[in-house]
Amino acid sequence: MTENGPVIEIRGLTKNYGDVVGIKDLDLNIHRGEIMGFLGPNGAGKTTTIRTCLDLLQKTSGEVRIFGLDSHHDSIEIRRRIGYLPGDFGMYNDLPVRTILRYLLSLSGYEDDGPMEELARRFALDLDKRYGSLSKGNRQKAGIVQAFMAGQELIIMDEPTAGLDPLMQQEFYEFLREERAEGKTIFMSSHILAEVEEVCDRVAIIRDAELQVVERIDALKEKMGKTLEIEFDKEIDPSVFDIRGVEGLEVDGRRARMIIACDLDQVVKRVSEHNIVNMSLETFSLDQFFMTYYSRPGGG
Amino acid sequence: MLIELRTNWKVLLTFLAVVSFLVAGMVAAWPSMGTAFQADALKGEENVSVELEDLGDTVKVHLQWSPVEGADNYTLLAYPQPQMLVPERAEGIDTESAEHLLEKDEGGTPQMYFAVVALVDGERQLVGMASSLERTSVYEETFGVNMSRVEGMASFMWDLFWGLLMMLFLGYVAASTVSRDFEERKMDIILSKPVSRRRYLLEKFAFLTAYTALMLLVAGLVLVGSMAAIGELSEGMVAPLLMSSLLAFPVVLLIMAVGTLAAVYVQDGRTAVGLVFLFVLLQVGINLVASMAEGLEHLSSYTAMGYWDLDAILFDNVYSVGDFVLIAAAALAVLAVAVLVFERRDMAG
Repeated sequence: MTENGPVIEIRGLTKNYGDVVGIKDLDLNIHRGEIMGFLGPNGAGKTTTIRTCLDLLQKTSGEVRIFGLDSHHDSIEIRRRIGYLPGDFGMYNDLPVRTILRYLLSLSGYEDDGPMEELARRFALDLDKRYGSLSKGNRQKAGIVQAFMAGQELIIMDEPTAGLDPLMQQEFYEFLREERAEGKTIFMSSHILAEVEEVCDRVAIIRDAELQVVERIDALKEKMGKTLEIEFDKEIDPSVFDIRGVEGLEVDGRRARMIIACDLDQVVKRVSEHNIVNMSLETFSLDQFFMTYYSRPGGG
Repeated sequence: MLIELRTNWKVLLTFLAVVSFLVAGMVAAWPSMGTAFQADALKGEENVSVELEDLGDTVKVHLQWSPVEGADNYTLLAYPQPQMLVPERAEGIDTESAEHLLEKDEGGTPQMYFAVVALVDGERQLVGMASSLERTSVYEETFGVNMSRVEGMASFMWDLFWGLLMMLFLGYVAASTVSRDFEERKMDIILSKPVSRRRYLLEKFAFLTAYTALMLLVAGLVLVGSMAAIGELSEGMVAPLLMSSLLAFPVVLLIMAVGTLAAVYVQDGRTAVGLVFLFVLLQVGINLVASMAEGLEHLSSYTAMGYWDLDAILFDNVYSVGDFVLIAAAALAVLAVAVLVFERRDMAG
């Protein structure tokens, strides 16, 4: 048991469905006490990765270790210590939510339903209602409660905020931050970039079954650069911007627009020889980055 | 296991009630149907008596009839079917008795019908009819069961009626209880808890097994109780009637194991139920063919149902513990395969 090593350690993980590649040669470490976002478009392999880690799918090759244990052979021991919220799940429609959650709690070998009641109160979930009568948002809350109610140290979630209203989403993010502060590790997939930007420490981006990048959110933001837009008093020669680190240059008469991935000072000094009418600098949001990233062939 | 009860109790309790109601209902209706299951009486059969004398390859039939007043003589007619009798001898018989020689066939004494006709004042008049063998009803000829007897009634009920209903229902429950967890997307959550797939499957099966045992016991007790209520229960019949129900246990167990295997393999309710129904109907079909077609009786021994030998239990009060264990072992073997398949397959997500 490597208590100081990564909580989840994925090495060369490949999962094929017959001839179809689900995920290919994926490497990823998730550390204790961090919230790792797992970002990618639909069908990229996020759910496949998560379900393979949980031993719901048999891996084709590679290795997954959770708490230093083998994801397949030590699966029961691992599942004792993790909470999981699937992306698409159901429960017993005819039973009250409280009955279902107590049953699931008992499967985890837990007796204390105090945390369950507390979580339900926090997320305004009525435990006396039959699961089948709940709205999509309330079903999602029931899923969230069952993932956290046994106080496990690692929580894996597949698109956890699907169906939650914006206020509840904020409440959920706040809750995640508190959980992190208590030392919990969280691995969550999402296709909502703002969510990852707001709550995650690091992000892994997957596309077409392959992991593209794993980066700290703040480092990523830095790397992402800024958009600089300048208006001159007359037409400008594009060669002015022939500077290392200036990308995606668009010159339209007196206006120039570019992405700055270098020191801003260099650019400002160069353009100072010309008369500037207007200038705006905008930091890239992860959202924009994501769009740029995915629109580039080969992932940039 | 408790969760199964909580989610399924309505369906399971309803079926238990339906089974009890059907068994009691059939028994209650049986006396009024009794005559329908008896062989039609031959015309005037009380006037003609038959005695058989075994002569080795042949059988001599001694016929004797009550005299008819004013009869000049009698004519004896004989034919293997009662609808079409032909004169046995052209000349009249002066006495009130006659003999007829029958050649034995594979089954021993053949069925032969006789009619005695008297000639009274130049007119022919039927004295009575008789048969070389005891007559069987249409039901008995078709299904080989004498429905006018308690045992026959019980056997008929099991064989052709709700024995099938019960097997289909429990096969359905077994296949759908597992596949519903896939279809309703519960499997991911359940299996994310520290529950091995083996434990999951065995707990489900244990629940089904307990329910089956309860259902068969209730069905057997209702059968015995309702027979007693209509005053048709003799003391010797209690055990055979109860056993006729309980001996279905391993057969149903096997069907449920097949349903479980189908469910974990295809992970889809409709297909799994279809497969288990096919299994049950194949068994029933083969047994039906085996019971009706001559020379194909051995086919039934290839099916599990063939070991649920109702006639032996009901008519002779004998049953094979070996067969009981054999089918139960087969059920457990299929269940073991289901566990192995379940442990190795991707869970449909």
